[in-house]
Amino acid sequence: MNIDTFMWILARVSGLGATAALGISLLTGLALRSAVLDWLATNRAVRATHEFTALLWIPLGLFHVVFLLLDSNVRNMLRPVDFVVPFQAGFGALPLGLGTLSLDLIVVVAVTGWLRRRIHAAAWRWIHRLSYVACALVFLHALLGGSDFSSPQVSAITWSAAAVLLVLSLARVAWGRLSAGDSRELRQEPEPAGRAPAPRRDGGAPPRGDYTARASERRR
Amino acid sequence: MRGVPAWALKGGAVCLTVLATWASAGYIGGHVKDRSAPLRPSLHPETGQVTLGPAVRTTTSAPVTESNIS
Repeated sequence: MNIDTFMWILARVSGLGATAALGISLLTGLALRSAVLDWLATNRAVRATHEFTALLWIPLGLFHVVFLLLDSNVRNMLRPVDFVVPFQAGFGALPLGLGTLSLDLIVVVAVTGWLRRRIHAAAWRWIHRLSYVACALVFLHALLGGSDFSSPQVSAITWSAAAVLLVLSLARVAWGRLSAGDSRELRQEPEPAGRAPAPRRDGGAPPRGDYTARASERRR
Repeated sequence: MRGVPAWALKGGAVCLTVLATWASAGYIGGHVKDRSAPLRPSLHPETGQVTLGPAVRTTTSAPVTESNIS
């Protein structure tokens, strides 16, 4: 095995590893608002895990790019700028461009995540929602360009994980936020006495799908 | 219910990522050259021969390089 083949293998391995870590990041991010992991852990623990997963998918994603750049076969077909500017490559423009675009979006989401305290809450929220688009683009990039997605073993796992994440994302869009009071209601636990739902920091209207508000209306 | 602590969730995320990466390495190590990879160089589907344009002349010399499925 020559060095180029070795780099090619490492690029594929790190690409699949980054996809798995990104899936975990998306799942924990969805769980923060949809309470889908409420049975497992508190929101604080899920949030800590969601932020921690950046330490997993960012290095693996960077390794994916670096190992491709170290493969001379890839270097002969692609320029370094093709890893930053999407849809300019002379080879596999669409699948590679989708990967480049997702990389750009992920960089924006990650950087604004670290600068969250300096950004207006509403602006940060809309930028962070780009992560859904980025994850969809990563999947399409892997589907259209990935060397291993044609195998039944790999595609069975990745399609299943993508389907779960898609259903949770659609549920998040359709039903919005599931508050802590709501999850208590689902478990049929009493609300703590004298404890009102926390107001939104940006002072806006209650979020769409706030089950606590709906429960209050039902009790009236 | 207090639930699973954050350190355990983080450990689980690390384990899942390592497991996925390790399994990927195992699979890719056994399938280095995939005939159905979408971005492989175009080859004749049955003979495995490169489709040459009219301006390219063939040779009987031994190959000095390899494609991803040769």
